[in-house]
Amino acid sequence: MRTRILVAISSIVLLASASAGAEPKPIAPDQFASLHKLIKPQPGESLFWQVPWLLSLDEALQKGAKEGKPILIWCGAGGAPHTVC
Amino acid sequence: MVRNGEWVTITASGKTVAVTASGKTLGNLPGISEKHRLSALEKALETWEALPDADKKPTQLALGTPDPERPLYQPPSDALIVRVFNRQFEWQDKGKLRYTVEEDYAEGEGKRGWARFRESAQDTMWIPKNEWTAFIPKEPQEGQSFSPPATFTLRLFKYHLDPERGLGEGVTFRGAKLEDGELTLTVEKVTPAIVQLRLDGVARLSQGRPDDKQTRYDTALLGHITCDRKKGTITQFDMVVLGDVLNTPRRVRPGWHPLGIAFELVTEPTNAELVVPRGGRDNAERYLTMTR
Repeated sequence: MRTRILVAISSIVLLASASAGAEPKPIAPDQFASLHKLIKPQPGESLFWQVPWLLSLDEALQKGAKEGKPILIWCGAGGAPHTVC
Repeated sequence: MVRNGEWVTITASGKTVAVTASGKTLGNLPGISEKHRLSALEKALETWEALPDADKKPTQLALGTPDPERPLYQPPSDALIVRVFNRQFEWQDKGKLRYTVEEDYAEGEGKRGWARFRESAQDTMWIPKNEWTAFIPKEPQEGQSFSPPATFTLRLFKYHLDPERGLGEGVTFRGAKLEDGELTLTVEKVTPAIVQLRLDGVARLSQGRPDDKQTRYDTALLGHITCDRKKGTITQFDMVVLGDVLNTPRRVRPGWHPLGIAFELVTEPTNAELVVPRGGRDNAERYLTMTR
């Protein structure tokens, strides 16, 4: 169902095709806004951005101890827990 | 503060773990699938519920020692923070784009991860003050055009037109050069209050030798930038990139497929939006100042 909804949303849009491997076709100014919106997360996607993450592990430990809550750590390559993959 | 800790294990592709403030591991949360992760999270919560209050609300914490080799790295003062969204598409009839579906992905990693790959992958781009101030001529005239700073263009080509975002930790076009594309800033509107510019151009990026496994991205760019002249700030940096990728990395989609990338200025960043961009992960200073 979700797939059908998203495909339906996308079908109202765009755009003259760029031939694969050919010179990139300029983006028409009147299609800018719709294309920008189409690329960005749609409702129900990328929900992890709504989490009020903390960047400091020490701050999280102190907050967790004070509020009596467990801590979820998401760490990525290059150092824990402050970096991205 | 980033510290060494016995209950945090780093892998190249990231890791999630649930812990107590007292330092007990409640559970590792595997990223194999949403189902596995939720199951592991439920078990971690069960473990949490069974703990004594002394573990749930410890009165003393062992915070350890900050690791001087890995300081918390913040965006430079006055740098623009721009959200970057990459999304794979497929062409349908009459040149329209559609979102991808399972059938668009190759066997193996493509089919296993398609539900994640079809969503937009995300990153941030930092644009330091010396670059964004160079976007605005001292005496702007409508129709005036010029090239953006080379450091900006290089950072964009190397790290932010990357078809591997969302697939893995690689950087597809790390070797990109200035001559791999052309970007032009054009002053479109000048008033006492604002200057509006258009950023457009093309990039033709490639990785490796030209064989049947080479990844390419031949793409067009169009952006809109607005400067508040009285405040001396950038109030809009929106850009769209659309072109075709040959051989999406990790072999999840062999052949040519469209990839769109959207850029959007962040005005009030959340903590998550302060995280170092992928391109600056290993050396943020170089990311900000690269000249080749």
